[in-house]
Amino acid sequence: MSEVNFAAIPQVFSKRAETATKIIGVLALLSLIATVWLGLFVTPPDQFMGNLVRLLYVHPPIAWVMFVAYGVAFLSTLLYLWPRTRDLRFDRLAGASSEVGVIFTGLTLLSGSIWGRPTWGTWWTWDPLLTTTALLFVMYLGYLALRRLPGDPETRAKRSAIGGLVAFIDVPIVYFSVLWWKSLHQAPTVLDPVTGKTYIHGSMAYTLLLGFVAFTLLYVYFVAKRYRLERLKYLYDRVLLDEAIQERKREAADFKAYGADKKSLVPTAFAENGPALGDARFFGTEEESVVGGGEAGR
Amino acid sequence: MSGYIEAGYISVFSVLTLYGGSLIIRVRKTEKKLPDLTEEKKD
Repeated sequence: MSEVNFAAIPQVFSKRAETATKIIGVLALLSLIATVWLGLFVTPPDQFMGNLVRLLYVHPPIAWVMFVAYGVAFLSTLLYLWPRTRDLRFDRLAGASSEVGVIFTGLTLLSGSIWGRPTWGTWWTWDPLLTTTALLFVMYLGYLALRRLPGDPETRAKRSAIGGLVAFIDVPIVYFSVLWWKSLHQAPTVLDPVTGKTYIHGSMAYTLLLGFVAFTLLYVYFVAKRYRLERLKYLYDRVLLDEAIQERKREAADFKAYGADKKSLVPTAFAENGPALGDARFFGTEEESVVGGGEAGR
Repeated sequence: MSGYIEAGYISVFSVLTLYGGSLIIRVRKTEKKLPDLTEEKKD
């Protein structure tokens, strides 16, 4: 990339942001290790579920991150659509957060299914919460596919924003489905939105809380990386575009300079004698040729 | 512990490791295509 035009790259990456991302990554890793250690080896088994309760330290935090991710994507989309705050950075943030959200939605379904088999006796059931979550997964996959459709960045961002708003409609439905309909899935354990009570205490509560912090940190790290990737791709496209424009400009300048010497544009014999009979390269077919001049001209 | 707990933890962390790893690799590959754009290097 020796011919990169730096004028085409108005933005640079902050060294501080890079360092912050690395620190968040390390903190996420350490807190995840602590969560797994506490969850598997320190916390006691549950009175009713026994050891299966250990999946509690993974499944709800993943579901929490799923909601956070789509919430961030929704707010970013709104900020992009609002004319006063319209900026492609919000579109990139919405895309990055949605992709991470899709990963965590998939993991919510996977870990829930693994937990559901021994507790409910089935890998899958068409329960309102499970069904709406699966629908959410598919809708955001569609949103990510929409983001990949070709187009200039502004058009693509607007198109994606509409798709993002439509997909987000399902998020509150997923959250409230356990309250609105009869569900096999239990209501929120940490803080019941109806009674305001918490049903978990002691080391189990602290481990679950640590799980929430750990997975949230991991989410922030993933989004920071994904955002950086999106920005790098954008800059790379701009560099390529700028190089292509410069190349066309050089070609146009060369052609102009070449065209100044009119004689050099046409073969010498043509310049002196005009087109020969049957020479249809410049004037069409033999029959159509109407250009006079020279011995063979009509 | 039942096999479900191990399956749950292993599957979740495998997916997260694969996604995180692929993300880091993709960022590095794209960075190589561009010059160093950090503030200090550009100055």
